[in-house]
Amino acid sequence: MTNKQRITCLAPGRASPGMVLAKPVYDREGLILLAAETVLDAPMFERMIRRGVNAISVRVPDLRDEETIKRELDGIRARIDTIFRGPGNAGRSQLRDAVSDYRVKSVK
Amino acid sequence: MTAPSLDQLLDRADALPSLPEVVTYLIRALRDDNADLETLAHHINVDPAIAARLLAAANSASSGLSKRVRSAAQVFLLLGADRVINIILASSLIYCYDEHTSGFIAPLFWRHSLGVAICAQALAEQTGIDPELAFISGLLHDIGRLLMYTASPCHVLKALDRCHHDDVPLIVAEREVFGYDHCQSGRVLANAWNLPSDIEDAIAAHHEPDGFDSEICDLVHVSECLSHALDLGEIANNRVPDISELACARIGLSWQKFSPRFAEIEARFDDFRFTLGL
Repeated sequence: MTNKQRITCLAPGRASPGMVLAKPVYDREGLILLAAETVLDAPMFERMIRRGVNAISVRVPDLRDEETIKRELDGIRARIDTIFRGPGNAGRSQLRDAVSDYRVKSVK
Repeated sequence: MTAPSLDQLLDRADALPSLPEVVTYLIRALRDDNADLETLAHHINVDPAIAARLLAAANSASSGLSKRVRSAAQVFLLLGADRVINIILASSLIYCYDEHTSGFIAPLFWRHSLGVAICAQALAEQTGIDPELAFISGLLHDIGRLLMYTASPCHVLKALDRCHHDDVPLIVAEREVFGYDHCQSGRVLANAWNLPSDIEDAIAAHHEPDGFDSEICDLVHVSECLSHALDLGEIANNRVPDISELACARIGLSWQKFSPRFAEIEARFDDFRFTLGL
């Protein structure tokens, strides 16, 4: 069994104690509140909420196999094709590229 | 029966509630340097329904905490004034306009509006525009749809039907059925509600901002497109509209620089949706 992990983004109020930060957390003034790899506990959640932190990146176990990841990627590409269906202007194409890139990276 | 003209809309929509008093106060406070949290706390305390919704939202927003939040004062301390204001704005509007019929499902309407509000807030933080003005403009951007539905539900259902069956944009279907769209009716309602002129313009311009020379108009338009592109709000038949390159240029937006914030926008949206029970 592997200990594969993936990174996900959550509001601080939705995270759970024991989760590990994948990236440092900054407050609104850009000051560092918590370093990457910090293991979260309940007082840290309150501190982050009070300091106006909207979202944090945490590591979660990744139980997916290659086949599941491929299916997710296919699903994402199909959904992008659906919501960007039909003709569109250049601005819409640029937005499509940005969203596709983001979605594919999120799955991998 | 013919659809009501733009001039007849308000007279036909007598079932549409007026803007909640606390929302009017908060919008006025955007411009008022003398507005203070005590007056806001007063508005919360005199309305037990608002206080109860705020406490429920605060406890939901902080579900990871060991202690429960029990008073409005604790909510301010924990979440901060900006977040409290956004929760009150959104929950008051959602509670006030809770229509649920076969053709118009208010929670879906507000989910989309919330998605646009959160995109607008995040874009505003990046581009130096007032985030609070952006949030409320995003939340109210589609109010013209509420007015049209209240005035003439059967014509709105006809436009939605055309939209879903022939995959035409909503504003096109509305123009065919009504002779105008929800951007125009939104301006009528914004005017009747005495909303500030920049919010009124943002509502009127959110599909076609090029003729308006206003950053908030550009921002709400881009937020509308981004909200569709990130699939916020589970819109049936979601299709991303064309995005004005002029609007992007005027607010100095580069997707390459802004896209690292997409994950944060989705997290904020999920959190807010859960908080409001949407």
